[in-house]
Amino acid sequence: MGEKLVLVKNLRKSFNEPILGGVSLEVNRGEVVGLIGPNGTGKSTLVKILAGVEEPDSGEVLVRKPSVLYQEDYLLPWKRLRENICLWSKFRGKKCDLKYVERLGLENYLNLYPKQVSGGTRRKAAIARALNMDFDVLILDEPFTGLDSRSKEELLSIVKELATSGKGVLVVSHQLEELFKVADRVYLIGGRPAKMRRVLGREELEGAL
Amino acid sequence: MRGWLYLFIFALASWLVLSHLYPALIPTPAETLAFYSKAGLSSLLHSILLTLYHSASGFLVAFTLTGLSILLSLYSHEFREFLNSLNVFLQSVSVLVWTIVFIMLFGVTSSLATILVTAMASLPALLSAGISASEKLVTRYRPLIVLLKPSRLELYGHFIVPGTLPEMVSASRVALGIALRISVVAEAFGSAGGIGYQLVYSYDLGIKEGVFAWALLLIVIMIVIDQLFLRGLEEWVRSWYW
Repeated sequence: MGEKLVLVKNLRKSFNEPILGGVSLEVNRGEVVGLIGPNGTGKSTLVKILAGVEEPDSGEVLVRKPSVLYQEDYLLPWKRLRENICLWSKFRGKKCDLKYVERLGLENYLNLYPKQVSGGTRRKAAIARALNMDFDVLILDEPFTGLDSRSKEELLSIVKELATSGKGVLVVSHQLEELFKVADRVYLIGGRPAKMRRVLGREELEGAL
Repeated sequence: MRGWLYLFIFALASWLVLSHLYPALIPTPAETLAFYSKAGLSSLLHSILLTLYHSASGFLVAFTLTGLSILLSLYSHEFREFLNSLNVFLQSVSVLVWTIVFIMLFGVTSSLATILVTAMASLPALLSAGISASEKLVTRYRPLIVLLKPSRLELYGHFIVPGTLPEMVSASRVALGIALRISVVAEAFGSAGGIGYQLVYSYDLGIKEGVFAWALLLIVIMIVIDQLFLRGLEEWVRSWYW
């Protein structure tokens, strides 16, 4: 088993009511891990905790050098897509590598502002921004929303390549077919507050496909 | 556009009726217009430009102070709290107090007194909008800010300045209006020129056409700046709303 890039143990989080009631998961180097569950089970809250946006109430959380695609795009409307994608590089004084831009079909939209493009293109720009960062583990919250089938396939291929190159990937998605194609392991969460229900291994996923 | 036409007709009709009812107090529109040719183009232009200089400078001072205050508030939570209290304090100080204080400090004929009075009067509108917009923006984009970890200067330059611009432009419409109105009051108290000075000068000499002519000029300038410049600017930055 590879080095642990994400380790979550018995994580609990409440806002006005308990949301996460003891969630545990891990992502190892070279793995693609999925997380599925019904709406409102706190999946995006878990992503925000992993990103450091929210603090857990209790439990253990370890995340090694993450890059995150949130459920919301968070593109800055006053910057063109190119500037949005290259924001991390700009802040680090590094040259912006646009290698994923062409693969995601964004090359003709780089000089446009987010409000001038479709929701799917905005989603791809947010994905390209997450990929542009220097990371050990990539956390993708609903990455397939708004994407056409060609872009979904391309993203799946990028995710597989990242895992092969030794990165870890955690994909939170409703779109089970895409997730089952690429994941080594899928966690199912559910209930209120949410708990881990089941873990599906590669063989079960292939059976489900 | 039709609204402006109705307003013009209403104002002109009211003016004609009132000047007919109170001829000793209110000049007719024709008498007022005749004053402009009597005053001469150079005198009119000089006064207009001086008032615009006073109000624009005061507005720029207030705008710069707001920008600096927001930047400093990123470095210190205490400063942010101080800023909120300062804003309440500034809103409580009368323009008359600022006018007297700055005239005492800089003298009756100094433009600096007029500029600073204008700045202090328009500062609260800008400061309130700036503080509230920057707080909302940081809350809205917190997930991205946590992820990208920009320095405070990068946060200011790439997020806060462009992100608060739409609200700052809206606030500037209010603040510039205040600046123009207040600069005239400040000129009336202590200045050697400008529309406010000319207005009070005409009043002191009992030239009622002069009082109306200068007042009318100020109203027209304010409407033109608001409709031709600030409204256009507001439309332009509207697409930056998040």
